Order: sequence, then C-alpha cells, then structure tokens
Amino acid sequence: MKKQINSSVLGWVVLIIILYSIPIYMKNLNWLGILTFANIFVLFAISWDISSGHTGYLSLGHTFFIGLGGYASGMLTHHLGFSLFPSIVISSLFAMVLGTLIIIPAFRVRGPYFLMLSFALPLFLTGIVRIGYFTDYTGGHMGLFPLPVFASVPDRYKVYYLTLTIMLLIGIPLWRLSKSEIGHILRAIYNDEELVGNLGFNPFKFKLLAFTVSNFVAGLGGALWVHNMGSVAPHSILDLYIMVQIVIAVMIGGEGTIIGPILGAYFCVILLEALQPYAPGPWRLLIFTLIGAGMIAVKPTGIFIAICQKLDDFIQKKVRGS
Amino acid sequence: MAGDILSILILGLIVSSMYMLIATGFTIIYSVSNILDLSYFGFLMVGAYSYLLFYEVFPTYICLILAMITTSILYILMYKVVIRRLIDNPVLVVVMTVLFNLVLEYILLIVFSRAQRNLFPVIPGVTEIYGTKFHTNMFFVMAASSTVMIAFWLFIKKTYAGKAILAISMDAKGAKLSGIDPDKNMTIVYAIAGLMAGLSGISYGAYTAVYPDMFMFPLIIVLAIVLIGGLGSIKGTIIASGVIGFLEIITTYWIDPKARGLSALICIILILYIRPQGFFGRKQTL
Repeated sequence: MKKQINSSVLGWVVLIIILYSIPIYMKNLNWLGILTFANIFVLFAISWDISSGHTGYLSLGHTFFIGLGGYASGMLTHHLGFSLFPSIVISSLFAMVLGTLIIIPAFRVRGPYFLMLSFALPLFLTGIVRIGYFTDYTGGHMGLFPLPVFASVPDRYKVYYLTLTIMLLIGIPLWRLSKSEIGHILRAIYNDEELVGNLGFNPFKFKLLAFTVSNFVAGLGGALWVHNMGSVAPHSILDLYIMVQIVIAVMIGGEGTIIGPILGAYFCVILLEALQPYAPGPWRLLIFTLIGAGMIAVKPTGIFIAICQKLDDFIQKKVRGS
Repeated sequence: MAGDILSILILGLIVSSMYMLIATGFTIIYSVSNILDLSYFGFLMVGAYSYLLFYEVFPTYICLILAMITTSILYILMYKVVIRRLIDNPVLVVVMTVLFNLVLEYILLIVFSRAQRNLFPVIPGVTEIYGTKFHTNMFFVMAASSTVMIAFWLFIKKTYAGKAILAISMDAKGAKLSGIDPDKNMTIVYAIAGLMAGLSGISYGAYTAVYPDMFMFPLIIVLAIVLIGGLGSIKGTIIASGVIGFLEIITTYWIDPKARGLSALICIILILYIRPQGFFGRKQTL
C-alpha cells in the first residue's frame, strides 16, 4: 500500500506544537504580549479572508465590524458591569447581526462600489462615536478606559494560551470551511459570480454566509483586543492603518486560503515589533508598508501559501520516493 | 439673513467647483481604464507640498504652474512604472495604490513633520461682499477650477486626442480596433489627471491646510460624489459635487463646524440603502 501523508494536518500539528511551546523557551514578557496580540490579530485577518479574500468583494471597512465588537464589549463592561466572558460573547453576536444587516444592501453592487461603500463604514462609526450626544456612552475621542483586562502582568502566560486556544478553535473550523465545497463556491464567486448563479447556486446566500461568519469573528477579535488593551478608542481600533495591516497580512499569506493569512498575520505583527528598536515613528510604518507592498508585488497570490505549496510538493515527493 | 444666504451661496459655489475638479480627475482615470486608482489622492498631496517647496524660490503664480506640471510628470511616472503593470488586476491596483498613499504619508511625515502648514495664497487678501468677508484666494480657486473644467471639456470635444479618450471610455476594445493606441492615450489621461490633482491639492490646501494625511478627506468627499453621481459620468459628477458642496457648507454653517465630513459620510450611508449604484447610471460617456 502506498504511503500517504496529509501535509496539511502535519503542518497544523507542527504549527500548534510551535505556538504552544513558545512560552516554554522564550521568557521575554514583552514578546509574549506581542504574540498574544498576534493571536487576536489572526482573527482579524482570517475573518477578512473568509469574506473579502474568498468572494472577491473587497471590503476596506473591516475595522467597522471589529469596532462594533470592541465598542459593544467596552460599553457593556464599563457602563453595565458585565463580566468578561458574557460580554465578549454578546458583543461578537452583536457585531455579527448588526454588521451583516448593514452590509447586506451593499451586496447589490459590484467591486468598486462595494469597496467605496465599505470604506465609509469605519469613518462613519468614528464620526458617530465622537458626536456630542453619544460621548457619555462611547468616550468620544479619547475612548473608554480602563476596561477589565484578562489578567495582570504575572499571568501573561494565561492570556497567551487563552488567545491562542481561541484562535485555533476559530481558525481550524474556518480552514475546514474554506476547504469544503462552500469555500470552493465562495472562491468561484470571486472568479465569475454570474457563472456560479447559472450553475444553480445562489450567490447571495453564500455571500451572506461568508460575511456573517466574518462579522462574528471580527466582533470576537475586536472584543478580545479591547480587553487585552484595556481601552477602546477610535484612533486605535478604527484606524485605516489597522485595515492596511490586515490587507497586507492576508495578501502576503494568500487570499482565500485561511492558513496563508494566519501565517501572514504572525509575520506582520512580528515584523512590526522587530522593527521597533531600529526605526522610530513613521520610519517603522514606512519600512513595514514597503516590505509588505514588495512581498505582494513579488507574489500577488501569496508568498506564504506558495511556500506551503512547495513544502507540500517536497513532502509528497519524499513520501512517494521511498 | 440675506447676508447669510448669500454667503452660503457663494461658499457653496466655491466648494462645489473645487470638489468637482477633484472628483473629475479621479473619474476620468476610472472611465478610461476601469480601475480605481486611489493614488490620485496621494498626488493631491504631491501638488500641495511641491507648491510649498517651490514657494521658497518662485512667486505664487509660477509656483502654481510648476507644482501642477511636477505633479503631472510624477503621476505619468507612477502610471508607467507601477500602474501599467497592475492594470489587469483591479484588486491589486486598489491595494497597491492605498499602500502608496500611506507610504507617501509616512515620507511626508518624516520630511515635513506632523505640523500643519498653511498654503501661501495665490491671491492674498480679503474681499468683502455685503458684510461678509471671504478669502480672495477662494475666488481664484473657483475661477481656476472652472477654467480647467471648461478646458477639459473643450479638449474632449474638439481635439483628436480628446475624442480618442472618449472612445476608449466607451469601448476599449472597439477603440483599439479603430487604431487608437491605449497606452499613449492613458499617458495623456494621466497627464491631465496629474494637472488636475496638482491644482486640486493646492485648492484644497488653500481651503483648509496642508498636512501629511490630507488625502483622506478628499477621498471621502470624492467617494460620496462618485457614489451619488455614478462612476464614470461627468454630468453626474458635476451635479453630485454641487450637492455635496452645498451640503457641507450648510452643515458647517448652521449645524456644527466640526461636522465637516459627516454630511458626506451620511450621504454615502444613505446611498447604501437607497441606491447603491448611484443616481446617474454607471458608465455613460464622458
């Protein structure tokens, strides 16, 4: 019987082992905090991938859904005294429901219009948050703080493992979804939506599914981030800069693959932090953006997914050869 | 009260003409190539900052011309080096041009620092009409914008190159079959868009100020204009600029000066629910 090896499963196992064992041999608390943030940022990236990356309906307004989750949880815990776990769950559901309701009308239109409409959403939320009437609730320009955080400094290990576990609990099912028939149909919509419709599938239902899932994960990510940071403010959570990081992470990883954006997300967060001591202020962002743009230009379909593909070919050849 | 209404009318006309110019430059690129080239807003900044730089040496009128020409040349360069390679992949164009704007912002932050700068007016001073004072430069902005728009319209209607561009915007393949060279004409389009971007940047800088992330606000305004007027329609752009311009003046005058961008954003959100494809159809001829 021919030896067969599923390199994706192997890859996941390797990734999980690496991620769980990092705190054992790396004791730097600062980096542990960064990696915790990375676990949450992965949620941002894969939620954008499952919707925009798969269907091709590029939304530049993803921070809107993240912000819905973040602000909901911030307000629930700050004003109404909810405890963390229920607040996060409710906020994610809130972001999912409200976010999907808001984006549904935009499904009527194609690429450029969808992009422009979605781009306006975070700006709109920023405006609303800062309006005088609401600042009592939203904290206005400065935001809400302090918010309950997961743990104090000595327990950063707990927070890291918590976020890592959540990331895997969301990431692996999303990856399975991407590899399933649903994922294939979503990617087909990217190529030719009319054809998909003519083949008997209802594109609207699939887009709805993708964006609903996406908004839930985005809201979850937003809520987690807000409680990791201890505050929520428009310039931190709704900024274009976050959106750009997400886009870069997904595009260097590989649109429509889930696993690519996961790797891309870690790469982006680690790179940005690694540049910190060498490049102050705008230099750091400049270099990061140039590197990101360069990596996208070199391989628009995704460098990390290409590497995974090469590894897979290599492994298959070795297995067959023996 | 009458003075109020007159001020609103005048300011509305000024702002509308300025927004119309900004939006037109962006629209013609989309009309001809079907890509959303967001770096146009970055080149708005190039225009404003190069005007500032030239001012060290030259008087204002020359600065204006030089800044416009510089922006145009740099934009053509951007087209030849970057955009031409990506033109088959609209998703990539959007991503890369957004990244370009950010890279430009960071470079400007490094070189010029976060401080806002004020643009030296082409025509300094203040004009008084019925008791309300206006910056005279703003009338210059209105005149310049209108002149460029009229010149552009004449170019499209009367010159061979203009008609070629019009043909490409209607049907790119058909135009190619008729012997129209798409690349050469795209270069012309980018040259024109560059001139418009330069003047728009200077106008917008005169209206507000010059700062490293000043590409965002015009981007939102043009978004609103293009969504109302429909991408690729000049007539729609003109009408929509009027709507957005007057809405902005009315909201800042009567409601809250800080709510400047909000009226445009609300328009965008309303469009989302009422008519996402815009009011004046998608691709009409220029």
